[in-house]
Amino acid sequence: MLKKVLWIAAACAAVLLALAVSRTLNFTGGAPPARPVEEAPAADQAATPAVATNPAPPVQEAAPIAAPTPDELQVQEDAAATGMTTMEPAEPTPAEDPPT
Amino acid sequence: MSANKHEKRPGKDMGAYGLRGGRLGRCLALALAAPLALGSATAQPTAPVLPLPPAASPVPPPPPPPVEIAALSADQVQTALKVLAVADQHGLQPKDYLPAGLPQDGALSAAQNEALTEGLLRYAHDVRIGRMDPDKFPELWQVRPAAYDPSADLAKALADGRLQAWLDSLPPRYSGYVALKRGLARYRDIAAKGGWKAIPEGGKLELGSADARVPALRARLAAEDPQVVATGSATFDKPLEEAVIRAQRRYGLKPDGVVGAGTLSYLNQPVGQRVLQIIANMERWRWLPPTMPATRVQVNSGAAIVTLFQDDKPVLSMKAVSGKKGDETPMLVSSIHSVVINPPWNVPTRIANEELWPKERANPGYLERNGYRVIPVAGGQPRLQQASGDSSALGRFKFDFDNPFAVYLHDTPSKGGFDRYARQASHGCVRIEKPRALADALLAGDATWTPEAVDRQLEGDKTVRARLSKQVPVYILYWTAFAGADGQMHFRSDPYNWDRELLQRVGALASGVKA
Repeated sequence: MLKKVLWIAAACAAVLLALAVSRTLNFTGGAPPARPVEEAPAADQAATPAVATNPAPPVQEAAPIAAPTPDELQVQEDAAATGMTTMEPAEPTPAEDPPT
Repeated sequence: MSANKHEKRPGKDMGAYGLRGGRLGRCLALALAAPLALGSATAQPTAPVLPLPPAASPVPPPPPPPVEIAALSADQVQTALKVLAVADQHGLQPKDYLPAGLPQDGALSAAQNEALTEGLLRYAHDVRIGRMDPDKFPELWQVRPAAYDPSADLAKALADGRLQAWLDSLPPRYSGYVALKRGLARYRDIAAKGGWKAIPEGGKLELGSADARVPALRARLAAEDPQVVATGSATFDKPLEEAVIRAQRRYGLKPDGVVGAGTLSYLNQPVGQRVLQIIANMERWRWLPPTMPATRVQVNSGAAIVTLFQDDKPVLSMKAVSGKKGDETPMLVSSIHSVVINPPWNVPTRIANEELWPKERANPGYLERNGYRVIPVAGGQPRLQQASGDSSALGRFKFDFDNPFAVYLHDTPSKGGFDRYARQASHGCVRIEKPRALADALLAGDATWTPEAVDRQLEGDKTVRARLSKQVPVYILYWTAFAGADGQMHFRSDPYNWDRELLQRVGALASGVKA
């Protein structure tokens, strides 16, 4: 009987020792912080009706861009012929150091 | 640190951007002074007149004080050398800007530093507003840049440490210019690889032709068209026909897929010629203002095309007929202020003397049969006026804008002229294919001149002038090389020979520009 008690005490001591060691090694230090517990809203907030939460509309596929008509293509061709006067964006220039 | 002093160079100052010269009467000169039977619409308040670009002052302003430009630092020297060495990317010649005898490494002497600064100033001037001397602008080239002395800008760029950014900001930022720059690199690359060989002359080549020249045609087309395989059989097949059609579209020819003498002459232009053509057009881009109004009418007299832009987007385009060689449509900038419905044609004296009176003498009654009346002029030669109506040389619409040449856009009863592919046939005015559509677009929103009101006016022959509530700028330009909507380079035939003239004037031909 005494022998059993001693074995149980040794096992408990081993478990406690393992816990102490694991705490020292801080195994959970890199884990993300626990999510804060949400507090209950204040009374006035709680009284505010919730925003209508209609079900999100089903995601619709974007309508395909209509191909230009022959007339539109011709206008684009003609515009190129009369001079493409749209502006090209300026290319970024690396910063320079002012002369010292 | 030494300092170089650079005075402004009055001799290099361009005349103010805008209208100069005064050769009147090139086209239908008297039409502007036509005694129009004005309808009720003319009671509209006069539209505010857009400020025209200032005319050149007859008395030059006193020269500004000299700008002090600091000597270039070692880094700035490297930046300058790098930019000037690739000036040919803009169709310029590096040797015009890079002083001779500069050491590859090491510091510059004060004199070399100053010479390099001078080169930067010349480059900045040329890449921004072009190489044309103000005294060398022909009268018909009224699209001219504002004077630009880069001294102050260079001094500031150096002081702020922004030399590279400033140099990058100088060339035009228009898509048309940037596309030409890419095209220049591409055609120089073609030239560096040996260009293309001329296709021997001979009979027509068309679908089904079995001809020893077909492989040469394939190789020629492949040089410009990435869709074409350079090698293949000696039989003219369908893919080759499609390639010929694409090439004909790039050259503004009738896209029939048949290689006759006309198409062959375009294909056989050497690549160096195309390089020079691109350089000439890049030079003209530098004459435009830095930005364009969002709503405008653009005309390319070289390709005889008109486009209306609204909110900076092309919304309407049409074929045109521009002036023929000897009666060239001038390059100019103005603003359309009114649409004349049912315009009469007041015949310019030159056209009356050279064309109409001889017809009357050969066929008595010709003038009366064609709606002309003779208007006596006290103490002078009688003048001719053609009545408004369907047979009027001006058709049903005339789009008026101020200019020293009395040219304008107008309708025509000769619609067949638009079916041609070389459409330089007028006396200098621009005949347009869709005058009603342009009138509707310009008059859109006008409470008086609704489409229904225009329709009613067109039922008769009464002349009315509809003044635009807001004037619309018009740019008559001359392009013979441009990138199409597909990015491929398109070329026209230089119908006025202005490319060659421009290249000669800026010395690009005489000095053998790098091709």
